[in-house]
Amino acid sequence: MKEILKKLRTDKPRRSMQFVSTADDVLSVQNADTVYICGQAVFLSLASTGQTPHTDQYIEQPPRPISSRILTDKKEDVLRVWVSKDMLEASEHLKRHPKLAIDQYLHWGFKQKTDTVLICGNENDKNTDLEILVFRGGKLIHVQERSLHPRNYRDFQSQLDLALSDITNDFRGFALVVALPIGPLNEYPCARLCQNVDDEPFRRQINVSLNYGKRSGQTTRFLLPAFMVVASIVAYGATVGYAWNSYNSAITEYRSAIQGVQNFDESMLKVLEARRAFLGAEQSQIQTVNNAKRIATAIAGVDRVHVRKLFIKDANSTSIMELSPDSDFGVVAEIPLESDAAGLEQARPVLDQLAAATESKLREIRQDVVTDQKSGQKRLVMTFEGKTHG
Amino acid sequence: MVKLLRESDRWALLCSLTLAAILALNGQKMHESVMQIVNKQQKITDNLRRWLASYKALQPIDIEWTKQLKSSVSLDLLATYRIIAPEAAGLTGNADLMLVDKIDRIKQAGTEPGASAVTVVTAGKPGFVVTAPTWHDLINGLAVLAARRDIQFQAVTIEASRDNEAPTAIIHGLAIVLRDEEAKK
Repeated sequence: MKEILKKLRTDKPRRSMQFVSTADDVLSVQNADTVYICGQAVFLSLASTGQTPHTDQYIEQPPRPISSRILTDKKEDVLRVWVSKDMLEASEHLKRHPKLAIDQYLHWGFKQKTDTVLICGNENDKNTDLEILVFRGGKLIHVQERSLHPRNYRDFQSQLDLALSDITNDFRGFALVVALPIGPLNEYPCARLCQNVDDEPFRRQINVSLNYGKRSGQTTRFLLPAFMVVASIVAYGATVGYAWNSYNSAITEYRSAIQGVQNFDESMLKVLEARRAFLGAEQSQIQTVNNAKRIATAIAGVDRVHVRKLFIKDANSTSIMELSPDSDFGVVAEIPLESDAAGLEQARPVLDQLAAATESKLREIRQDVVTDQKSGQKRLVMTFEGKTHG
Repeated sequence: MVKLLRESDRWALLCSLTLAAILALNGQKMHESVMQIVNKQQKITDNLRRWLASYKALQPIDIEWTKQLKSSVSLDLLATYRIIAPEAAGLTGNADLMLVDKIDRIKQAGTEPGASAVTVVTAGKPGFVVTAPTWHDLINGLAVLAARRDIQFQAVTIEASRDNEAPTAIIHGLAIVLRDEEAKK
């Protein structure tokens, strides 16, 4: 026996792992690769038996299938699993998620071709909690929990005997197997056929997340990432949506602005500007006619003088007529001669009068004396030119 | 904060951060490229608006232009004479002796507003000849013509060799301005 215990201590599992069954166990965990929750921290119940723990102390985990043939199992053929709240709270401080040992046992059990009774659970120096799982054809058919004294108690053997006799009676011919964290049992006569598989169920790690209850459960753990995803999608939608909206409104504005415009052409504006300039331009011809009117009226107001000809041009025009460059109008006027006196002398006062009347500087170009052939009346014909000051 | 999180949570956080980053970058790009198009469009719209505003402001000009100037479509000499219409100004001319001397394009500061000046003369005279019963009537008639936008002339010679004779005016370089039909709008 000593040898076996020694072997148990020295023969360490390949992967470092630790089994916890109480909150205190959790606190003593040090750098284990994997922490398995087992023993009294876990409550197991085949759904068909209807057993449940106190729900205020335990948090139910997702039910486990009872065979690897999940699809063909009935819906109610599940193993219900609870984990104590104390354990869950304590294990929140662990760096890594603890696993449930039951998932490893189930996985192992499903693979057994022979009908098997698997003894597992947890043991320490205070008590021995046995979890007895019965597999038939790779399917879990029975679950039993037994709480015994620790091994060093004198009545341990009788308690074990009692616990196993029921099972061996009920499930005759089943292989009896014990796995970690329960040590070998074949030193006891009642369990001498019990085969020790040690860490065999733990060689392949089964990952099933724990349900920590509402306080820090799946939903809240993923709340931040989920919020970020939603927020980023909303932000994306808003950004792109805003841009798209601006684009649409810009297009709409353009469409409404261009409505009724047939020909959007910059040169059209130039043409219109030119038309405006043309229509607004000063017409010097108006001044020209006004000047003509003023001069004609003025000359007509001078006694005895008759205008025979008036030529007038606008200030800018260089064209036409026998005018000096600095004059812009010319007049041919005649007055009847009173006597045979020299025409020039008679013309002088008339010219002065005309100059005063037209308010212009006049220059006489030529004068002729014309005799009317019918009446014999002599007339002085004067040609002069000047510059309007308009 | 990240230290407190368990492994799977870290993965979830990493994934969501990546997604957020991708969306942010993509959204930023999309936003920028769309906004560029928007800006371009807005500039075009602005230009159009400015153009429209100027166009609308100049719209009365167009109406005035059409009102003041007759169209140049298929005009014979008689039609041209009727547009000059000396009679409307109380003057008498001779349509039969009227000739077209030359036709010039109207230019205004280098731009053609779209009209031509048709210069007319009376055959054998240096200008277009009109008469009226009196000096007074003649000069008033000339004033009416001068005030018209579609009439241009540079100089006038008025003559009456006798007192009882109706005075005659030779209007030098008399031109009637006719707008192009095509240039409208």
